[in-house]
Amino acid sequence: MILHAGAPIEWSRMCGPMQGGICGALVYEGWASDLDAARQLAASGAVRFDSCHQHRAVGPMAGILSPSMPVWIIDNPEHGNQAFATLNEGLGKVLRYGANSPEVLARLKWFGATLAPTLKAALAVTGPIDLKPLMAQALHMGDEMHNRNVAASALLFRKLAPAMMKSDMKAADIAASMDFLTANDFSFLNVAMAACKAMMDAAHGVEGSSLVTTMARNGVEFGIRVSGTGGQWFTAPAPRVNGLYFPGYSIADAAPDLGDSAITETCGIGGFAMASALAIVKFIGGTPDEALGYTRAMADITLGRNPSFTLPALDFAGTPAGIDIRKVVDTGIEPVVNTGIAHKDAGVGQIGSGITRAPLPCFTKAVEALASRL
Amino acid sequence: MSGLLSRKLEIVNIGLPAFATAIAGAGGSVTQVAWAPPAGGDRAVGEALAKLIGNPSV
Repeated sequence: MILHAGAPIEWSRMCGPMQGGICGALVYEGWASDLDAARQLAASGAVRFDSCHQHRAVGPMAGILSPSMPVWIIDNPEHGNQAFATLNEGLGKVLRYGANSPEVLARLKWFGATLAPTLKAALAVTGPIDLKPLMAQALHMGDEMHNRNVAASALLFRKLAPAMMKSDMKAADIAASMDFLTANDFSFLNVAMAACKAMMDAAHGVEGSSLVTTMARNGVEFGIRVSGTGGQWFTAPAPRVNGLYFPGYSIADAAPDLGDSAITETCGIGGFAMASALAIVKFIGGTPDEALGYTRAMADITLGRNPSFTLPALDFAGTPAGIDIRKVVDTGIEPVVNTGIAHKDAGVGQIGSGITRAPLPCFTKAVEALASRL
Repeated sequence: MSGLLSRKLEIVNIGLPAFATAIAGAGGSVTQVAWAPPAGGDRAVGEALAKLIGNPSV
């Protein structure tokens, strides 16, 4: 089985980047000898595909997760649940954008052979790392932990680097791992996503609850799940992102909104914490005032604020957290989502960034479903 | 009623801003309240929403 981002979707309906990522994973696993054979195998029905979210996992963009890939394991000790996410590959040609060339697969093999064992050895030295204070500090350093993870990545590296040096790993492996991590400002994204997943899964399955516990996109549909409606997905067509495109690209080149990374917004960071990340408005389009406005507006559709994650620019108010489907439908305010934009064709990669919205029909369907259960 | 119309009015307009724009254009004082019908005016969804709001089991 191979897992992917967003709500479950069959092979024939998947977007280009997701199909490309799956073909790469099939070759990576040794289930197909080359990409042509991988495409035939995927289309044959012999491989099962399912949503990461339904297996306690999350993945950015295409969100491809196959059995041999190493994962971060995030424990939620208070509620006894766990969440998983792959290691972030950095930018450029990467599987999560559908790239599947030999260099992409070689990097994944290196993850398994070198990076993951080195991280594991470092974690054996540090013991479990408490992520909530680290994330709170990153918010105070200009991250919102969806499109900006530079502070959180540095804070995590600060904990791991000395531990790598104290481990029994070979110096060359430690050096290569450090080089990779220092060059990747998105190292923490996958960790943040799994941390948010661990928090939101703990709130899932409460009878009658109107709390949104999942927002995710598979490149065709935007899907949400709600605490009080079990495993049911409520979907609407995924929008194309009207953001800031890299030179030479436009919205006509974009895949529809893609990835599990909207779990950050579901948990009250990402676009909901734009007030923390004023420096990235140039990257995603907009102004500092608009960034503050996004965070203020999201408080109108949440059940409360997270006192653990505070926002200096808003007098240390907590991040708006806990989207309530009733408030979304009542006000018509759609949750804001920061996102990267993938090219519609596999392997081209990221072509821009922007701010998009979770479509209202997801929430109206959820309201009707929850009401029908009462 | 005649008294109401003979003195300066402080007007609050809820919903469609075109009414407020017209008043402001004529020199009047108006406060615009952003509001739209819940569920975009969809009756079935609105009724489902009403069932959920204020419901002790939600």
